[in-house]
Amino acid sequence: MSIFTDLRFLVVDDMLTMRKIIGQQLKALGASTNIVEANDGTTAWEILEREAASKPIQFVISDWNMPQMKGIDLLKKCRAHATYKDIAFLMVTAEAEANQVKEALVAGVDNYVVKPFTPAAFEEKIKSVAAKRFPGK
Amino acid sequence: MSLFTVTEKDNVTTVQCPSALNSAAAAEFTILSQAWTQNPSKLYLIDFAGVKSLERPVFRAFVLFHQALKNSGCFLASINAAPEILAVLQANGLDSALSPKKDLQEAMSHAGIQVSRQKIDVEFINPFIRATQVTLETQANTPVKIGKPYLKRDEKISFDIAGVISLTSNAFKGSIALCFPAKVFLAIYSNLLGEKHDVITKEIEDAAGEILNIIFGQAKAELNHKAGYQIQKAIPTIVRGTNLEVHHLTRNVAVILPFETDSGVFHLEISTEAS
Repeated sequence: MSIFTDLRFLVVDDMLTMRKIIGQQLKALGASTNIVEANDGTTAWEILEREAASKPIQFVISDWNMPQMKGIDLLKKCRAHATYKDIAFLMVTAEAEANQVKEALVAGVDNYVVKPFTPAAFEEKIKSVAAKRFPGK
Repeated sequence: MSLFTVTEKDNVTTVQCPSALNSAAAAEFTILSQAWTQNPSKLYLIDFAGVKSLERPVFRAFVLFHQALKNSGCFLASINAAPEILAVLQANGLDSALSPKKDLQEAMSHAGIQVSRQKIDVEFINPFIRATQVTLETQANTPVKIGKPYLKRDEKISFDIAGVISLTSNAFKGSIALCFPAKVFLAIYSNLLGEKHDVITKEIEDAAGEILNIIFGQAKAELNHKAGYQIQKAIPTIVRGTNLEVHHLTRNVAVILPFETDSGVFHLEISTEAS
């Protein structure tokens, strides 16, 4: 039983390969099958809304650069919405430029993983977000 | 010894001023400028870096030079004026003659001179080599060794799957293709996700795009940070088939970066041209 076992994750990336990598790493960290996937921000938002009443998403892991709604816009939309303003949000992206990291921090991201990443780097970042958003778990 | 330091490059003459622009400087500038107008550059750039004082005789020298250049279809601009110097220029109505600009690039643009970035070279290529090695080794646990980069002439370099991404910046455009033979791609995919596949399917093909996406992100960050290229974000596309070839729609020859893995060679093709 880990801190991640009971959390419900939404993994957002336009690349299936990266969604699978993140899904594998979440499972290795003890996450159960509570992992939902979306291939862009627009679909992610629809899932957040759809699941809010029954099985709310608690943790979003999103890419930045996607067609339709980008990860940064999904983040801003979450932070501006009463229901999702405190949702755990980890950005996993190939966008490594300092001004983009800053933009995400200003928009309220909880942490930021730059691709490529090792399982250890991913674990460290996701645990830091969990410790911040779910301190009692 | 001259009070001014003058350099000429790419049709731009840069004139570095002394710290005191007094009557002696005005006299020397007048003599220099008369010589320049015989065979003028397209742009004269007055560099005020380090200038502490500016006296009235220099005003007239600058205005006359501006007028002479204007008659020849050439331009005068200035950079690096400290706020107090800029205030003096403005108070004396010299800002229109000296046309203060943020930097050389803005001044060249003002004069209608094409601002050209360096062409594909080692400094441009190296970030892609480093990014490819780091991406494959970190994300896909696949050691890679760079072969000798070369220019693509008439030889046929075929592959079975590629990620392709457009390259757009303020100074150039182009494309990058990351091309794999099936055997190499399947081996890398196996290292990436621990899944064995015998053929490339729709389910696994986007790994070519994701690997390229990560390589591009790393190289873009380094080039934008160190060299100021302002390369834009882009989303990769995938091409898959048998014995495919890449034809870049640029006038320049593509650079081929071959990478060796335990299961064979893949390559990165980069093609750019001034936009």
